[in-house]
Amino acid sequence: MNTAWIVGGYSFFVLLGLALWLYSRSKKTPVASVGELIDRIMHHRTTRVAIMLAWWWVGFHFLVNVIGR
Amino acid sequence: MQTNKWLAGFRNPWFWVFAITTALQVFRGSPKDTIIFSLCAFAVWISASGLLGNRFGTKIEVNRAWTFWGVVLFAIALTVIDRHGYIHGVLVLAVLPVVLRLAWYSDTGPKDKPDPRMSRSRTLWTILCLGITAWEFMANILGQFAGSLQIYPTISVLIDPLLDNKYGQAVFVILWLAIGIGFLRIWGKK
Repeated sequence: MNTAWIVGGYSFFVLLGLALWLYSRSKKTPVASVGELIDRIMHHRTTRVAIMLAWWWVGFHFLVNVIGR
Repeated sequence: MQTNKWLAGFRNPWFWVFAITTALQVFRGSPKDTIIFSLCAFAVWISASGLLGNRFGTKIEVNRAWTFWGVVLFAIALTVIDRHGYIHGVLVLAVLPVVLRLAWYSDTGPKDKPDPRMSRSRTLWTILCLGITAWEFMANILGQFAGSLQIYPTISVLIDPLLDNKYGQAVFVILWLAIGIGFLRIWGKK
């Protein structure tokens, strides 16, 4: 396994996510949209706290931390 | 009774998400991220155990106009100032208590049973998130063993160079803040 495989894997997941997001945007599809899903999962405090902590870390990681490349 | 509360904290899957990520940071040899993820696991455990009771139980309704202009100013500051400095450290750290307070309110009753559309969406997004997380963990572990993050790049290693110029930094800051506001549902239906 080399760099191309690793990058290809990320690209695959990103494209799959993009396709799923676009597909689920209409109310007629059998899959609830991202907005509806977030409304639902953010019902529980622990999930809200966990997701917001993960979100905050992303900002900290790229804006404050120096990433070794 | 107290023991049951403690155990409830450990039974929450989010606790284990942060605990496993903490272990990965130990393996990576990153003390800063180890401390951050340990504290995140602790915060999640406190929430899941319910040890704080009904403290901070009410949801804060924010003024949308103030929030909008505050976020705009914040985005400008995070963009024009070079990253990795003390100012970024202070600004990003200052966001944490605000965000935690906005997210930390009691649940409003039990959830309805999910309809099939919602179940499908939840399953598909869970598979996708677990897939990309596993891929990232694998790249990280292979990179540590090979001693090269260039051969087995993590998402950070691929994205970080894009933020080296101001346009990339601006796009990242806007996306990051927009996603945060989206998660908090500040602009959702009242």
